[in-house]
Amino acid sequence: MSQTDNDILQKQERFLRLLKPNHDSLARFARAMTKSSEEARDLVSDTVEQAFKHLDSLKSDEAFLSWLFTIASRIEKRRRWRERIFERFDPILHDEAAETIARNPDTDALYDTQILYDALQKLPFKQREAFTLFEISGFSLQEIQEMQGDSLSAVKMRVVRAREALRTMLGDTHTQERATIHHLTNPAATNQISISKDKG
Amino acid sequence: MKKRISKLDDLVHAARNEAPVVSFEETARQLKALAEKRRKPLWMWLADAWAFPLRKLRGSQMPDRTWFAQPLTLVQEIIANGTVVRGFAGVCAVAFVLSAFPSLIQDAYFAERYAFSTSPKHQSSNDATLTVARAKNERRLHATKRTNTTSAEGQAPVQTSSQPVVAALNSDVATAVAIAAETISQQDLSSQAHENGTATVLLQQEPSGNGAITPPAKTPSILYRTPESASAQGSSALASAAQTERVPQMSEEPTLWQRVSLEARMAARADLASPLPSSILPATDAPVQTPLQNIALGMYFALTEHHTVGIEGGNEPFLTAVRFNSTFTTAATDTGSVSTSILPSGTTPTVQRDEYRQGSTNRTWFGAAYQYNADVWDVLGGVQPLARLTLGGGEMGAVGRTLVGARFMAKEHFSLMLAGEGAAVASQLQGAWNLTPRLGVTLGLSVKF
Repeated sequence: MSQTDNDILQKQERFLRLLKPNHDSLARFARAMTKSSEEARDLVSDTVEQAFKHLDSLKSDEAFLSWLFTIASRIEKRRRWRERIFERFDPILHDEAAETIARNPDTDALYDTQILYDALQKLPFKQREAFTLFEISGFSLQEIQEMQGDSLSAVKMRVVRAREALRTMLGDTHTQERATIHHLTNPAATNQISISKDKG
Repeated sequence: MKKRISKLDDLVHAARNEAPVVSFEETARQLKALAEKRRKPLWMWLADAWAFPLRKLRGSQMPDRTWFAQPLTLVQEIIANGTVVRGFAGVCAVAFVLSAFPSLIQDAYFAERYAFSTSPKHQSSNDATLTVARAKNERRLHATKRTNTTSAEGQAPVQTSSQPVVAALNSDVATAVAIAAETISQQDLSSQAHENGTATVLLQQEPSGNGAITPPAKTPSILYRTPESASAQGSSALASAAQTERVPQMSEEPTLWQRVSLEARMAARADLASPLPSSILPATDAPVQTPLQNIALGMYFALTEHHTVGIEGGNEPFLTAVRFNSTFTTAATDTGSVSTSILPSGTTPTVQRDEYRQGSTNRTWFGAAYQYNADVWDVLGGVQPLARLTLGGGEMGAVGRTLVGARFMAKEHFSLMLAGEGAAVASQLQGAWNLTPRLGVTLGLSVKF
């Protein structure tokens, strides 16, 4: 085995070691950000390919997680842009709901996640990204702020507005939090952040 | 505040616990395959690219997302995009109409912005320059005859005579030129004095203060040259100048850019493959109709007068028939709610049957083309028979095309092509190779630089 092959194998091992604990989180993020499972698999593949290709530019392993999701976000943003420019017609030939059930045959509730994903598609990109990263992928607001590159308050407002919009779209009757949101808590994150929002 | 569980919270909770769309093991396998592919030698890359350049272009598998697919994806999207193709076709159509009927833009033709210049096919010693000058609201044609003579010292002094011609330009160019030439030919130009080898003689001084002719520096000029020999002199040169053929400005050896041409074409085509009997097809299985079927764009490069190569691509619906062998649960079949879904793992199959589907979905193809151009026939303004062979690939498999027809060279930069076209796609489906032939008639518009 040549030195080059050895290097590639070492790089591959390092990448997989970093990816393994975060892979499912990335896959769920991809699913929430895209319209279908097919696109989500594409996004995961493209993200992994790009991340592996540029792994040498990663300065520290601690930054891998946010670096990986930033790549995924940029790929999805670029794909959306191209889709909007070219108006590509790409018929979906498979039954998305049936595929979801086939993947998770044990619960009917998972069928409903498609409703959530469809509703997410109607949100602006940054709101959808912030909501998905916070609620589904379990990132803290500070980490999302680093990825999105805006202020912390802007990230908070995106999450709040996304929740409100989703509640409206889903016909959620639980509207008490609309008036004042005191606790924006991420169950998946270790820290809890409290914010206040005055309802005008 | 006491936390209350809402519908959104339920859905978020479900999404958070949902099985990922792709497992880590699968991603790791794809990554290893990608790394393996990166280590392939160059010749294997070329072999892969040559076999089916667009195979599984839209596939979701990572190893198929190779570097060469990216620019092709962009080209594919450009072709599939109606706005770009319609815009290109529109620009070509407008340019063709304006070129075919210059009278539509005749005012602009004589305006400050436009000058039409031609060069001689043959070396000439006599020429006439006709300039259009504006004087108030009147346009005049200003004619200048120039005779090149070679002196004993080997220099080339120029003998120039100038004749303003009061000719209102309310007629077409040829008539105006004829009037100018006839007027000048009545003058004796040979008896003018020379001064240091160069003589400028104005036979008739432009009257001052009476609509003086604008100097021709900013006016457009139309240059005609005679195909006469160097011995031709005098008025006969001018007379013939009026009838000189206008020829495109072209050197003997065309530049690289002049060898390039673009072509857009559309076709009416029909499948030669036998469709499946309707009795075995589901009633709802209608062909997918998408806009811009049977269109193609190409860019060609003329190697010689008779041989041209190029690349082309387009969209074309090929008839496709697929047999599914599917398993259904009784419940799913009875309710019909998920009748086309594959049975989830771990469930006992109760119904198994074959299903046939058929459609003519628009498919994109690309290819490399070779074209033979026969000699131009001097009929209908110039007709050039041609034959083209294209080999390439598409989303379905290998594509071969032949095209035999003729090109009508309507104008200098534009030509129309009418041709018969045969195409066939060889695709591998369900382990078997299939050949889907089509025949059609193609109408194309070509732009040459």
